[in-house]
Amino acid sequence: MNDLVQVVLSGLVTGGIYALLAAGLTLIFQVSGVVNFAQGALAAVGAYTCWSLENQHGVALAPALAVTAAGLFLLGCLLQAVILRRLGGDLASSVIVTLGLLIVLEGGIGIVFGYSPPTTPLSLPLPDGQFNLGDWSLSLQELVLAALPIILLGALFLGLRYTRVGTAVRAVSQSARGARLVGIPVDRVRLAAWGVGAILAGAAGILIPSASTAPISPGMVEPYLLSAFTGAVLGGLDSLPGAAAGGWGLGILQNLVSYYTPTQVTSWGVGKDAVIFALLLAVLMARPTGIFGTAVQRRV
Amino acid sequence: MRRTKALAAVLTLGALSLPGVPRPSGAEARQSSDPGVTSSQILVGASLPESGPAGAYGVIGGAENAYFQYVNAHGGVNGRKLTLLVQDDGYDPSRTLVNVKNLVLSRNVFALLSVLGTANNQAVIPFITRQRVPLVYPATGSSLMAKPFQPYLFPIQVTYTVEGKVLTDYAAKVLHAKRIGVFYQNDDFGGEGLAAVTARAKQDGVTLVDSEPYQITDTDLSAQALKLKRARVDAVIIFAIPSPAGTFIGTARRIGLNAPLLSSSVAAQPALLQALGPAGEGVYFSNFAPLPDSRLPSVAFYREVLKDYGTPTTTPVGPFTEAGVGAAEVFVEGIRRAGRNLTRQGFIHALETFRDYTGSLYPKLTYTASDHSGVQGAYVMRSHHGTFVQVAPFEYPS
Repeated sequence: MNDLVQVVLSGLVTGGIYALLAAGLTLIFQVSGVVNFAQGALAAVGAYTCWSLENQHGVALAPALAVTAAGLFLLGCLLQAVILRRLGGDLASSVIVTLGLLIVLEGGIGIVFGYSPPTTPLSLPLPDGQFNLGDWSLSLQELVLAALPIILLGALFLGLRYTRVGTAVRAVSQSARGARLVGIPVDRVRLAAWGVGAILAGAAGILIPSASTAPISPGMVEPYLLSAFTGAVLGGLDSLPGAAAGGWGLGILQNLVSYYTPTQVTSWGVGKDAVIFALLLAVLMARPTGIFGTAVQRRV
Repeated sequence: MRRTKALAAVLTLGALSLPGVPRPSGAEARQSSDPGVTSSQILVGASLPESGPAGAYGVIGGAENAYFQYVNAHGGVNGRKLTLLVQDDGYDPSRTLVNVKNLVLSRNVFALLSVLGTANNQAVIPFITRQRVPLVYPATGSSLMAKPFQPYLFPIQVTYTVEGKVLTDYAAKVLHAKRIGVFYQNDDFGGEGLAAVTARAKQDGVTLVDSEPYQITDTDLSAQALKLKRARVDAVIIFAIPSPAGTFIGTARRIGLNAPLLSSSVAAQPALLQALGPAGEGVYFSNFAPLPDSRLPSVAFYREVLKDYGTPTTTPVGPFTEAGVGAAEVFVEGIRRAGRNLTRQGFIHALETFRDYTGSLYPKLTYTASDHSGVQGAYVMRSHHGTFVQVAPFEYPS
């Protein structure tokens, strides 16, 4: 039983990172119509900025996080204002442009910091030790890592629901034209969405080294991004909570499949990825807009 | 008339841009009939992962270049200076092949120094054999680099089979493990390690109770760690590249898998230990080159080369840059022995005169006309406060 709880907890940790990435992706997609393939690169920029502030400039963690968040917000706004806005919502162009951004951002990190992981890690002050409840013995680090995305995304959803800015964002994601008609400054809302989306990416990027206990590197977010996309699509790209739920669900599902698939089968190459993409196919055939997405009606 | 001329121009340009078509050469005179050699320069190519999941190995290129700069600053080799062209393949074998074809056919390199990755090397062996281009240091421990005999390959790295034997022996005889587990990359690299451990376990009288594969794209390794824990292993042997190795070690400690962990040298990266923190203490690694902080003169020299011709971020002291400098030393010695009249065949024959060569930082190296096997032994070291400490002598397992 302890094994199952552990599998789910680890899945929640990984899934939390997927959820952060998926939420950022979906927010940007809903508000500006752009599928941001550079979301992972933004996450890496966030991680490296925080690392650099702490390790190269001696800044303490809290101010480093604040500066990183502010910097990412500005970067997101800049990307939207200078580059993406000019594409006029054309999906194909935005795919190419954001892929280009991915290469430029990751390459930029490589040029500035080198591709070899720095010898000092990006570590968060996580508690050591175990949390014991009856038969269960769970790592405190994992519990905190699982909780952080829940708190962050909880704050996001509360903000979207109960603040004026949040309501404006929801309005624009429902209908940009309608929002404009009621006087909402759509362009500014888009800037805010990109800014917040970048911050969400940065949060994921900062959590990854602690979750994966691996050194930071420019491409470290990419494996997570692939699954985050999958989770977002599964959950439905037009539902922010759905995308986040898809991320968490996928994290747990990947672990369950990985744990219960006999090793022999995995060594043939039929791993959890095969199972999950088969699932994705099945879900999308049944509900093309994802589990929580609203069905699209076309007027003929 | 104009259209015909234009058509002729386009066809000529097209033909010239096809690989393999002879082109007018540069202004410099050639001393030999082989490409990449002029009266003053030797052009050398490399394909390494400078980005992507194995980007940590990219520093090998920087280290090789640092050594070349040292050699050039001291008069070059037989009157020629060395230039290294490194191309990034992101650990993707299809990109490796593109890079190597480009280096050989378009950039006209004389020879190759370092192509990294088991699958990556396998992708290019047929091509470089057909083109008869020597490759020094196919950076992989795959036994396939030397067996069957590959006339154009000169591996240096100890094979995963030898590492598997050394690690299994250590687990069984020194750590007294009875139930061995293996965590391995699900490809030829990890597969060879697993096969070696499986065979050696039988020989050592211990049981391989569980083996767990992973894919490079896996983000979460807790299922593998849990299954190994459930199998009640008393040692886990790891064949993984640094990033997944680090994740596995951290995960294992988090879920309470506290058995000793023993890893192939490919994951022996100081940054990995730093990222793991206390969880990275006391992990065993096999290794075949001396420790990077050793007081041996050859290793002190390596650190000098990095200090004078490298930078701390692009060429940090560690097992990977050490491998790069060592490989470059072997390469340059081969060039030196080949003499002023430098040809690819001459270079190959020169390398095949190595008999227990100890002029590089590597242990003694022998290449003959029928056997190019690299270093065939290893020792075990242990992580301690962020560095490595040797805990067993160098051995050549049977």
